[in-house]
Amino acid sequence: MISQRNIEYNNRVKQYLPGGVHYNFNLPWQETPLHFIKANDSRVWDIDGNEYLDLYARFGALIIGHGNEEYNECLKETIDRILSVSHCDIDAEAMELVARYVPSAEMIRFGLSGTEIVQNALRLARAWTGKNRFVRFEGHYHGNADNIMGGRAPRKGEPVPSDFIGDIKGTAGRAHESLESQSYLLPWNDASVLEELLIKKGDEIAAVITEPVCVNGGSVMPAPGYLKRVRELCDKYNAVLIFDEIITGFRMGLGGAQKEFGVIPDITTLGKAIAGGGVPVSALAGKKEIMQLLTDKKVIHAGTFNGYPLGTAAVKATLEILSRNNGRAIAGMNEKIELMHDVMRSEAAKAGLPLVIQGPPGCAAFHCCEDVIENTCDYTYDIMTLDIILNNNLSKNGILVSTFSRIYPNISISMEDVEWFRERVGAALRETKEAYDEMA
Amino acid sequence: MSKEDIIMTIKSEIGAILMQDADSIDEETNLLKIGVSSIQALKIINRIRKKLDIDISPVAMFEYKTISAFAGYLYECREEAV
Repeated sequence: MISQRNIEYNNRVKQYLPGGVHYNFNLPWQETPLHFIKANDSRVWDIDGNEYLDLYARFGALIIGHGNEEYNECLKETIDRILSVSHCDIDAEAMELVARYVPSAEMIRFGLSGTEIVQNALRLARAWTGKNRFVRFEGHYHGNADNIMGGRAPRKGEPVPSDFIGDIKGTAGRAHESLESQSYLLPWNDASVLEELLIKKGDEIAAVITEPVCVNGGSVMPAPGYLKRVRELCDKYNAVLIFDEIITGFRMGLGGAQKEFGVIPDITTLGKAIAGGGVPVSALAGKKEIMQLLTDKKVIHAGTFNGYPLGTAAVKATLEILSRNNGRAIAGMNEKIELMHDVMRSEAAKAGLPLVIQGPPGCAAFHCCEDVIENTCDYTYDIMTLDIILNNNLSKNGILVSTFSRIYPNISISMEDVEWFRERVGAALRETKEAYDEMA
Repeated sequence: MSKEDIIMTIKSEIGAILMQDADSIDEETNLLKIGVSSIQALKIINRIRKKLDIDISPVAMFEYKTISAFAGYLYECREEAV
């Protein structure tokens, strides 16, 4: 429950911060965020001293956990030694580590945000192919730029996206025609639909961009063979294949989804967990021949803080910590979170609430439904509504998860956290079951 | 179902959640000011979705200023679906 003190503090913030929040989508009701005062390992404490298990992890960025000594010392040393220059003596090691683990990363550029780095990937693809449009998929999210966020396309005729009423990712102020003129929006996990479009429009499609696991659409896994077929179609129709691994990168292991599925994109976008979660870093990684456009300065990629020492140091520290002992940190994290998944399934069954947990352990999602969601279009508003209610009830019971139902562990997660979860999740599920019955 | 029936459905669902008499809710009431929390709003929309058998986003209600305007949108959606 949000306390009066928290509300009053947020009201003070709200005088200057629109909505009292640092980010928003089109969820128009009033929300009061919790304001936190301290954090350690997997726990955070709000301004009233209430303790929470943090499976929110700053939208999945915080893979390293709160207060990781090695990571924090590395950042402190960098601050003291070399706070702000454009190129420093950490660059080579950080790049070499990314290239060692991410199969498609023949060359790398760093940026700050996922939104920005996706736009640079699209620019590279356009320059490489000489074509303009890109293909994206329903339920996927690639940042909050005008040309790629939200919208809906008709199922018959040309899949040109446009704004619609009630779009959670819809926004006023979008540049005119930016949504309609730059992309096609297709259902995911159906290679025949993509092939049909490429046959008709392949001469105008520069890129196909996809989350290899659609975490933003509910942690939906790719159908067997789907990504491989997308790769083949991109090759056939000269379209650049872009994997948006901003979430799956490092949360599905150091090689990301591309290593897991054995499908190598032309360009990969990385972000969030790449720098552990304490500082912002994104990365554009790709084939040397395409990245050569940057070397040749045919394509511009600019940014005041690109490759800033603190960020580069964070990438290096994160990869060193995650890769040590053959990736033991991520394996341990996955073991613990899977125990929590089991507890949650079992408690949901006791409460009589339909529940599935799906997706890779490091970036799974729960859904209040009977069957695993196999395509993003099957994530209905009915299910989403219950997921939001369960999210809210988990928070009230001391467990924070990310929007709407993503469960993001970090490497400091412990058996004590599993017990904390076990003691609290049942109440949240029972409260959600009451809402489920009310809405029936 | 007529637009008037839809208005009555919306008022009745809002009334049920706020524990108010549906007739006491003005159809020109500003939806952003009816005083529902996010969870209450989600419950209202879900029940409307089921009663009208229409797939609407949980935030669609707030794209309209009044119950009457929202009902007009729902009426059009149902007509298009026929």
